[in-house]
Amino acid sequence: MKARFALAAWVALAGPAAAADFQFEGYGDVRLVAPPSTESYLDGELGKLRYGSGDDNFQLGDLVGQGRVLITPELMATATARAEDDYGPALNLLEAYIRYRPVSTNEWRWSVKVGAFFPPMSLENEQVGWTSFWTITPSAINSWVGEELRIIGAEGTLEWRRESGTLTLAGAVFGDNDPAGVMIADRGWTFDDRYTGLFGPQRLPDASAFGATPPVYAHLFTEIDHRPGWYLDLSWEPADIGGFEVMRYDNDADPRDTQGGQIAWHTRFWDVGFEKQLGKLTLLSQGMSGATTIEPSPFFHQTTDFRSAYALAGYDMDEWWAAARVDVFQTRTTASFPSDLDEDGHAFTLSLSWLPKKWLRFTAELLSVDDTRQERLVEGDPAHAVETQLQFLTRVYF
Amino acid sequence: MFHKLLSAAAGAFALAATSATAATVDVAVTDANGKPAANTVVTLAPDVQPAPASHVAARVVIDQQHETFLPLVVVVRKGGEAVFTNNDTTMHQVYSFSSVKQFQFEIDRGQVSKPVVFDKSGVAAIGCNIHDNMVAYVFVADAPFAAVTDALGHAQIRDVPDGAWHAAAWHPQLRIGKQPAPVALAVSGQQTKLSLTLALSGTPMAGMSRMHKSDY
Repeated sequence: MKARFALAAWVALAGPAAAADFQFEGYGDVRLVAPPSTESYLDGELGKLRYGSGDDNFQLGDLVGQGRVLITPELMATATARAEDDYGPALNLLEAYIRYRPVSTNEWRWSVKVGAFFPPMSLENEQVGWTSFWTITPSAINSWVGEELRIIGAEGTLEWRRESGTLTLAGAVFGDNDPAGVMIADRGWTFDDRYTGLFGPQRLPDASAFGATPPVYAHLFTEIDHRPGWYLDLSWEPADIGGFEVMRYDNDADPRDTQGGQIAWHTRFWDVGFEKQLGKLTLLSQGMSGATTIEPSPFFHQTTDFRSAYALAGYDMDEWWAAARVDVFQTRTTASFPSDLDEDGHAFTLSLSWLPKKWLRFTAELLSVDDTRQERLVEGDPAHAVETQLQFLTRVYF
Repeated sequence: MFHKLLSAAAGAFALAATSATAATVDVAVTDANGKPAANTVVTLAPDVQPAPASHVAARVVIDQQHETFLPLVVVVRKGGEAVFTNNDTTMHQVYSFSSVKQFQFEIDRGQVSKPVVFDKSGVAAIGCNIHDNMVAYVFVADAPFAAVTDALGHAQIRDVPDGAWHAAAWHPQLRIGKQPAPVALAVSGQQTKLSLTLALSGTPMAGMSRMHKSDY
């Protein structure tokens, strides 16, 4: 299903039902940033962070709004939009979907979701606008999910609700995401809470332009091979808070197919997640291992294996909370000719947040990424880089 | 971490020279760290039958505000009823699939529900089919006396006849199947103190810091 259809359906349904039950919430934030001296990947470079050289002092962060209308108590339509002034359209859509979830008075409950939405595996991004409670910047895994993946299709969910906890199986078929994989292969892992909108391109690194004149862009939410992808996600959420999750994702793209200069990247991965709450202490961990492949001609093929994992410890004192996270990440590329796309790295994140009012959040975050990527030599930079970004965020919820 | 611990120290002392036939039981419940355990249901059952008539509320009200059930825990007598009010800015679809009671209904802004009768004892977990973060617990008491502790972990159970009783505790953060055994309590005089310590796990409800969680 096209994202455009989902948006149109939402708009069409929102009108008559708005008087019945419509809610709108969101946030806007500004940030005081001390960026690294490298340039951000958003500017076509090989920096790992949202901010880079030239982005110091005050930055307008995000302005995100989420509307939701209950057509009936069991049928809900929601859309999340973001306004920005730097990259892509001034107004973009992050999600738009309709969910049907009939009430059940027994242990089983099912639901169906149709439209465009984030896949369900992130243990960090559970707040409005797919933001993280613990930190400003999500892990490498969820930064990538927010950048390259969007499920544009239909998802069915079946829950088995026991006294001891809930077992959930979710499965989806989707399309319009065939270029997913190009960023992780050609640029590698990044750390960013700016998630790609459904409309508008994402800039590829100038270093991998391969003869084209930069800037070169990828249109990530495009259907190329007319072959649906799928995922299955199984999670267990015990009654005493915590959980375990495992997902298999395969966009099943035909790696030989191309359209308008874009290649279908066959991207597939396993993702596992674990969460445990011990009093005020929360432990989160996710691991991902996958690969993405293209074969646009009989004379060229490329496969990039990508892996990452993180462990986060968070301490919640209600109005105050703190988090520390360690990420490790790696890519390995084999191609028809020698590749310089391999990378190895790790990152440390420290974050402290304060919510003095229910509508006001302050967060200080220190994020340091240490990695080696041979591709930087193309730009005349050393392969090894250490990038440190300090942010002071003020976020107002509405 | 998940071992359950219940320790009780129950003592009775007379505050008046005259003999009393009923007393107020002052309940104080803490967790294993000594912090007040709010939302604990404490019940008193007599050792000698027949039990006196129930002093537990026959009707309770559960409100909905800011996508939250208030209060988190209520106690009602067996055969009693709960009424739900909606003072929120959105509709809710209240339901329960607990073995104690299965029901569901929609409730719009400003509405009051029809009474829901609880004719089986036990605990019914209540949810909202629209907002998964919402939860409440209705404790349906067989015992003739019961109360829910406040934010300081305190509760008072009044008019308890002198005699031998057993006190039991339930809390949403006690693990399933790990309820502590009842403890003996001798009630005599006008004032009896009951102190309980519970080993709790997890967090039963989102705190202020989690209030922007997206639950749909």
